[in-house]
Amino acid sequence: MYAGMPDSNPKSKVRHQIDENLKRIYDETLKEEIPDRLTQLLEQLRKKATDDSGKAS
Amino acid sequence: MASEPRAATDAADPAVLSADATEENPRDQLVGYLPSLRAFAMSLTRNRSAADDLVQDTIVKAWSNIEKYAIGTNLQAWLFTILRNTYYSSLRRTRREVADPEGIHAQGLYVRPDHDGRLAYRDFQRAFDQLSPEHREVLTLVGASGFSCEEAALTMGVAVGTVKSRASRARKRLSELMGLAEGEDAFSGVDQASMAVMGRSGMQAA
Repeated sequence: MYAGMPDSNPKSKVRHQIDENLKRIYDETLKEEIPDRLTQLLEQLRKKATDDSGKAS
Repeated sequence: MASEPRAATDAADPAVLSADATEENPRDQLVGYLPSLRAFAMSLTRNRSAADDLVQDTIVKAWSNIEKYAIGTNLQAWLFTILRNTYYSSLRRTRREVADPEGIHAQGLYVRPDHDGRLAYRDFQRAFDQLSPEHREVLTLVGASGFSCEEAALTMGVAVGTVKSRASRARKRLSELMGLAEGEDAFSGVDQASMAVMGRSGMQAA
């Protein structure tokens, strides 16, 4: 995840720090472990798709 | 067969990297986008379980509509679009009960930077929470997710110019919420002493 480059705007040290903080907020969630229910959901969907294509119901 | 469009996007995007593996099922790639979907969902909802609900709905929709995704295009942007559309349609229902999501609620949060001059992260988060979801969205997309303005425009379904102007208003609003006048260089130390310095150097002292 690389930030877009700050539009070259020298006035904005504020802007730079805003972006740093935005990234920090984003990255905190990004680094969290994925809850089981989400990975399990994908497994269920895959299983269902396999079953359905087998049965062609 | 001739030439593949190499520069579909310059983001480090797994969907693009695997664009020539046309046989690959995009459904198999969904798992790899769970972290960024959660991060984006958190930026909209600011609530972990609401964010995970939103990701869950997104995954189900993406899975069952996967034929609408054009292989080789930006899968992350496609998924983010589903996520934000899902979010906003549920928000529209909620908003009928919550008047003025951006106004009243958002007033009156003024946080000065710490004496070390850097805005405390916690205070930044509080200000970020006060933004409208639309403002959090645009700032997250262009400021944190690594999306270009073009990718953000694609995701949000608006013109690139709209992304830029909205991002600019969002930054301004964020600055206001943190008690920073526009253009004020507050992060670099707005205590009494530096105020005096800034006054001398011609920045507004009022």
